Amino acid sequence: MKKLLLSVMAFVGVVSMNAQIADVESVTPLLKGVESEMHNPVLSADGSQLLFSECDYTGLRLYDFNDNVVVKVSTEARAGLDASFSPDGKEIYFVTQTLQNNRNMRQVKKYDIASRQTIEVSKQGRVISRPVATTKGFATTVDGNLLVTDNKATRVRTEGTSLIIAKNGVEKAYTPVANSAGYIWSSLSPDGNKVMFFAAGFGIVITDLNGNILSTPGNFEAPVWYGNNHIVAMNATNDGHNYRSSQIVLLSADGTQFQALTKPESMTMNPTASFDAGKIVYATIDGRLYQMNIKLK
Amino acid sequence: MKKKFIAFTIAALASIAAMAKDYSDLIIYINPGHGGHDAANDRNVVIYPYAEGDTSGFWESNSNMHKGFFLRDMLQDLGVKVVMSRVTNTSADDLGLETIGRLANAAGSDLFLSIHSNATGTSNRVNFPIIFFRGYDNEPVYPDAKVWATDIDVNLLTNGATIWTSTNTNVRGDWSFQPTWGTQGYGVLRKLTIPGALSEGSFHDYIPETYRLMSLDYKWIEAWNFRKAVDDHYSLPGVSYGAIAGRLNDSRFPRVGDFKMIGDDQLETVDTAYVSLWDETGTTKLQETYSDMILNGIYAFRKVEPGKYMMKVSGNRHYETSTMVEVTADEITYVNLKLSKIRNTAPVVETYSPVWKEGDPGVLCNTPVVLDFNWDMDTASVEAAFSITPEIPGEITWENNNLRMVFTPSQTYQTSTVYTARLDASAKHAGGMAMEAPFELSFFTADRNYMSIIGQFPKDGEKVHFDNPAIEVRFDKLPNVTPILKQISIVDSTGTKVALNNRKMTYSKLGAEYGFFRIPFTKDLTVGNTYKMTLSNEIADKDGIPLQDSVVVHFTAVDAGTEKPDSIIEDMEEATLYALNTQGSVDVDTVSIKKDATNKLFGTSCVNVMYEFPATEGSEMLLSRSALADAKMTNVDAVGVHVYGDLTANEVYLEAIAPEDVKYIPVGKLDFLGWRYFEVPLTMLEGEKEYQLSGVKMVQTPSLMSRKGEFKLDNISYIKDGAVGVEGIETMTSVTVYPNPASEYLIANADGLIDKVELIGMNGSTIATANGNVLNVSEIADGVYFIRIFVGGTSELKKVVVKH
Repeated sequence: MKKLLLSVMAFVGVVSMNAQIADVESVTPLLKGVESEMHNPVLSADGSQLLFSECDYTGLRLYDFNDNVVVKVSTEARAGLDASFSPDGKEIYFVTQTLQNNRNMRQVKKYDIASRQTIEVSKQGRVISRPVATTKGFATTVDGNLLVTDNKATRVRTEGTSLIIAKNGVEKAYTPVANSAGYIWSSLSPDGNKVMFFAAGFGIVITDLNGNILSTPGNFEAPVWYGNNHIVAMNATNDGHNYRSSQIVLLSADGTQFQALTKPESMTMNPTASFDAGKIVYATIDGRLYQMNIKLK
Repeated sequence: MKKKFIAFTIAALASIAAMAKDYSDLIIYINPGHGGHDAANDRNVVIYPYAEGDTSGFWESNSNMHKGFFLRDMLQDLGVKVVMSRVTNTSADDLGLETIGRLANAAGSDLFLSIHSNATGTSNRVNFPIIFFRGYDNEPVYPDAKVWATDIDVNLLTNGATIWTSTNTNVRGDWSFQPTWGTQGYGVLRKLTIPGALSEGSFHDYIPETYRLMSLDYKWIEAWNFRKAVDDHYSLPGVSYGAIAGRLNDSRFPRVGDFKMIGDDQLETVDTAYVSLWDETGTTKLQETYSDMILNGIYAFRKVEPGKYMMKVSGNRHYETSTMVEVTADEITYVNLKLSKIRNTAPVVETYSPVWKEGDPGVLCNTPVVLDFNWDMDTASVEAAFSITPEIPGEITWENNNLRMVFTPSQTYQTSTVYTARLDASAKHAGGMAMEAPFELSFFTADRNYMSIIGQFPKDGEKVHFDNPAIEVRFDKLPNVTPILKQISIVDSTGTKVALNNRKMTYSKLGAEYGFFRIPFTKDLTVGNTYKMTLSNEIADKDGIPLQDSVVVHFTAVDAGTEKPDSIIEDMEEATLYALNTQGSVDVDTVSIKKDATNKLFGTSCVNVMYEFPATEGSEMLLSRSALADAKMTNVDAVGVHVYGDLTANEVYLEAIAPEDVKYIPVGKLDFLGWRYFEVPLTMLEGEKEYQLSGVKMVQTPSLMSRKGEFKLDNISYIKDGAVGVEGIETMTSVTVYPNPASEYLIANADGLIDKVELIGMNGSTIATANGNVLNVSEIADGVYFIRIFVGGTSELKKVVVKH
């Protein structure tokens, strides 16, 4: 009953269409009838496929919008935390975790969507950075050692309070924002010209490929690109223990425009976006997925 | 690609090989919960001397952060990699819950700890740790998270410097603890990919704990116990050194504060005491520290090599004390000490009571003598030095850690008497110093030392109508009714307790002219049964002045509604027949005459009269009939009257009129409650005249309780020739007759030997006689009779009913 209530709130909680950046054309619940919770959605670049996992990132499932089929990619711990599609949408990179001698061991894996085969692409390590999918493979670090299949690809990752940008096979570390508790949620804009990351305690930061700050759009969590000029993120409040509100917001990358896409009480979070498909998918706190179609003005 | 993969493989294998039982490859994420001194998601408890909102006062964010820093430093010293979600206390770094989880995952952590303290959210005050993990109590999302939470709980409970109200294991799944949240759970736990726990280490709204959480040493203790939990979780060896910590309290003086205090928290804390650690022989000082200054008495030596030590403690106002301490590696040795205050002046009585001076009203005759001293006293010497004249027995008790002596007399003082309480100079304080001069106080007692009963129902030997009975006692002062049910006992003739309905008890309120309580019985009484009521002499007024003696009353249940059915003069069904006759009345404030269908004895209703007089004496009230009653009465007749009494003791008369004559026939005093039947011979009427009933009169009896009341009248019967041969019709109490009604035998009992019994008809004729106390009535016609019982030259008359 509670799930139904929250789900209804997520649906009716869409903010009015009078905002200034985009029109919300539709909001649709996804995978209606699925009883298990669905969290942490990740859209492919073309918006035709969706990854999701349990709340604590356990397991990984793939949903194909075209044939309406859900495939089990992994049941392992942490599989949903750092999952990403290859740019062509044919492969999935993710990191799994096992407990060995009371230590958490992680490993990068690749899933081939066509053959439904998973292979290990790294050895186990203690600290593994989020694998970044590139046109010719992926890049990650395992206990500080770089593991990359296409060293020429421009890519970005974070380590503690370092923003590491790789161009033409050369990695450089930047600290655009000091006094942060850490950088996370780094990504390259679709055109490869801008870097976005989240500095804990500060908010979203947009830089150029040399680590120069271009804008600071605001303190919103879990930001993802929507095209090259916009960002979708979550705006949540808490009382120190629990969420008090959470909504999906649309921002201009230069930080000048803001639009709430859902209401604070909708408890919507963890958005993912495909600019090409004009599609945003997000989860509710109780594990329902919604698809929102928007059109930029 | 191949080269890199091989290189990576070697590095990974090396990493696994390094996973020995040490700290070096562990990554622990610490989230010092809350932050920013923002009331929306931080917790400020206002404690002296800090104002609300003062960031130097207690804020949960400060406390959590200090614990986090200490834990970080301890773990880093052991080689653990520690990542913290915040290292300053601002709103900006009070990170979002999603962010905290993500950071902990990204850091490659093995274990997550969110540090908090708790509050009940109610007025209830408790103190114990609760540790949460994600999932249901018996179904954790990460089984290892429950193990981790248990490790924390077990170690936090070892804290010997606090006062725990429970040492039970309190490890809970957040989904079970807050079922209304569904599986939302605590925000910082829900996105973790690693075992995580949220520690509510103690209750910061238990004020002595709030003060302790202001102490850095105390927060260090909690961090030490977190570190020990990490050791336990990974079976790690711990540290080679130990620690000493504890709490210092005064040995006797109570802590001041209007907050809840439990156990030794009720004692004053010893703050800024000098604590030094010496070698075992006490010759070489090794370390020194001070107890905290914020009203908690907490101190700690954070790093002490294992061994035996002498610890010395002294405060500015306390004697130095020393104790031997043994320290073991990786353990905190808790040493809580109670220090004796330096008593360097002679004891004196600082305040006392009663305080009385010439011209003041007398003090209550049960007032205790209270002496408040400047020092905690040696009780034996004070009790030996105390005397009171005139001598009166009493009990001496002590309060406030022997700072207060109370002498309570075990009986009330004599009235209007000067008493002198004296404390000889031999009285000493706990340090052994005697008073420099004796102390004396005098007081004059009031003129009342017992509470008086001014009216009661039932009285000893009285009859009580069986239906809807109640007891009522009236006093000269308002009684304390709180314990009253425990002070009254009613049993039937078999000794079985008879219950009173306390929920329907009524009693006097402040400002009343006299005190009373009235309590109905739970059930009707059984006609013919005898009962015993005891009023304890513990019944007291609101000042505690008691009754002088207990009161024991025996009473019998009767049916006041028995009478001859064919002789009614007035059925009292119509209240409008009666009205106040102002010419025949004196000083009546108000009177209300109404039909009363709820308490009637016969027919459908009775007449209820509510009245109020202006004073406690001098009033008369005549209620006249609108027409004379039909029945003609002469001086050989009698009348039967059913009256519902109001315990005022006011007197009721019938007015009877004959040509050129008016008589007022006394019925009885209303010194009872409930229905009672009076049968009155009309011998006072003049011979050969015929009288008719014309009204009812009440004459006020001077007393505190006669000013207002409410009585009722039901059937008034005419008994033809009822006065013939019938003398002393009022029943007496020492003689009983049963069963009544009787069908075969009437049996009389009396204190003395019964010579004979006679059955007398209502016209005075003897119907039957029997020697002894048993009369066969099996052949006697149904009806109402009198039975005369002859005992030792006297006789008594009882009304009986024969019914087959």
